[in-house]
Amino acid sequence: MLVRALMSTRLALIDEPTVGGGAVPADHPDWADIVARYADVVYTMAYRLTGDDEEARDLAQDVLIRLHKGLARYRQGNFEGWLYRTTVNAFRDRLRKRKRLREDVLAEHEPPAMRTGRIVEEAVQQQELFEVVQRSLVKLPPEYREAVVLRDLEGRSYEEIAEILEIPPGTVRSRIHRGREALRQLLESYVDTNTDR
Amino acid sequence: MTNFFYYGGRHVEREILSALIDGELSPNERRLVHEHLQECADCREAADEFGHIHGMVGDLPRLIAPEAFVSKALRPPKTLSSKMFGGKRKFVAGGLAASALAITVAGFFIPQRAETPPVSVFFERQVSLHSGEESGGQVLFAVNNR
Repeated sequence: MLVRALMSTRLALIDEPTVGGGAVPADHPDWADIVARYADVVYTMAYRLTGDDEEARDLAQDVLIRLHKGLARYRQGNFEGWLYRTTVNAFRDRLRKRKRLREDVLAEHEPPAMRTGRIVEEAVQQQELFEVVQRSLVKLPPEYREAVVLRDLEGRSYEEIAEILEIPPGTVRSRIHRGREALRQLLESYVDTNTDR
Repeated sequence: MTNFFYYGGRHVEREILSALIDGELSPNERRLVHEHLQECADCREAADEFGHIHGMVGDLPRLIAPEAFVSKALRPPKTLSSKMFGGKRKFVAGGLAASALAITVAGFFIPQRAETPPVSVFFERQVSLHSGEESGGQVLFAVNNR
């Protein structure tokens, strides 16, 4: 019964702007409200970082547990920054545990599965393109992936990313640039350079 | 504004072009780059590429968290905590059970406390051959059992 009631709360809130536009939780935010507002955000980011539904669920669960654990110590401030930082830290911890060390993407240079025989972007269905981009994203070294996801997907500024990742803004700029260079090579066939901006 | 141009000032650093896409250049930097882009097709193309990459990643849809995951997250905090500490609880319970078993097993091997008296006394009885009654006796020797 409780879950059902909370779910209806979630449905009511789901159309409201979340990250970037949602109200920052109060000094003592309600757990159900946090889940309602941020479950999709956490899950999406977890999926973009891991590229796998099961891993994304585990990571997102880990993030929520950490948030819940730290909630008692939370004081009104940059909640979303805390949420992103928690997500990145949980992601890094999982990487460390699994001993998935950084791989040299450019040396590996394994083309995405959809690349063969496809030259023109228009020929690729949107969903397929999403999958190709996602697969390429997961091939980035984790530190580039984090920066690109926070910038291009979550729309965070360099300054915010610097705070979340606890690195200088110059390093943020460098990581985003390198991540995009790697993506450019991985997505070479899909990048339309004739577009005038 | 170091490393702004490379190739002897012929092109803008690619990292600068990437930052341009993000709107992360100062007004002065932005002006210089835009002036350069007017004249340099290579840099325009590079900026377009970064813009396209930015768009491709940015277009990835926001996912809806699976209902089962959300329901699980919405359970009362106690459940989350029990999940969080479940491993420790099991560890403690297991430890207690193991301790109890160890004590029980060890009990079989620990010598029992001696029930014999500390001193054994050996004495000679005097019994009448006629009546069979005991009429007395005397201590022969005693042994200290400890």
